[in-house]
Amino acid sequence: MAPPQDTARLQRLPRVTANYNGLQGLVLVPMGILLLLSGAVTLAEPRNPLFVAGLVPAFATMGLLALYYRRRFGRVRSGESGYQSAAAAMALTVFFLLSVPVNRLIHSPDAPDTAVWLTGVQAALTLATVSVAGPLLRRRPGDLVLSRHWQILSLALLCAALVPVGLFVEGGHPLNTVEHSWPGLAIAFGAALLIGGLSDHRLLVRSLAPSPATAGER
Amino acid sequence: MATPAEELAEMDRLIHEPARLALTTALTSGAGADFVFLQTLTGLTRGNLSSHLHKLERAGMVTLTRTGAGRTARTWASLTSRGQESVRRHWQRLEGLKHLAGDALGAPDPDPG
Repeated sequence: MAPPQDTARLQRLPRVTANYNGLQGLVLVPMGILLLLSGAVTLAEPRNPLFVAGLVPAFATMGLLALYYRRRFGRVRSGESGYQSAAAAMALTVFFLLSVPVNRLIHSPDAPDTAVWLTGVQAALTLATVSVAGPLLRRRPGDLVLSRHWQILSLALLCAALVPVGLFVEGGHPLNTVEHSWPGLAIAFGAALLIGGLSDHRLLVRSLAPSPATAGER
Repeated sequence: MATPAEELAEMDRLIHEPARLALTTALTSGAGADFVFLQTLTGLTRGNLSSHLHKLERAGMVTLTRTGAGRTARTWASLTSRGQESVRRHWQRLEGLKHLAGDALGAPDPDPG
């Protein structure tokens, strides 16, 4: 009989196989880097073409990384791309629904000052939707364990956004201004894509590493 | 001709072999996986993996399909409904054994002398 750690690893394999396409985390990294850089540069230089100029190279790199996964780890036909699209659509809906009150509070001169970071809350809730919608739509709640790092990231971002910095600064939270809202949002999403993507990749590589029992056979 | 009990024992050995257990367990997700993915998963050589997959195919556990030609040729493996059921039962049996072993280890020694 297999040792307990091998048994646990084996029992995780169906989940990893079913979610293989979503665990190809390196694909997210170029977009994460672009958003992070673009956000950071925009804080210093509000009008810059970095994001637009970086889109084509970022998508090209993402395509190459997807190809790397096919060559290095192979392919899985899970027939669940429809659920992934539905989860992405749900996240976009949450993002745009939250955009309405957030934009009103940031752009309207009559709006009251807000103590918490509004676009940070928006980013956190969007990420949380992505992390839980897929497994729940597929009725595989056990798969939520594979997106635990995304849930932790969302929670960490939400906690950071809810720190009432605006109570101690005149004019509300400093990231709620018109000029800081986009870079703040870009940095939040960029950091999340970078950390979450690398964590996805690490999880995939660890899960797919052959166990000593099978590798010993060769 | 083998008795049902012998057939069952044979089926257990077929699945319980470590590489085949990893292959069939991964495929219980309902997904089809290509040869490269299964090779990454098990760390087997092409020849060994091919041999295991053909054993499983002959036993009716796995369906192998080939797509493309030349450089794009790929072999896909997916579990049949019979394979799904056999792997599910096999894991139930393993879990049962695990609990039995746990109970035996936790129980006081009946003959300490």
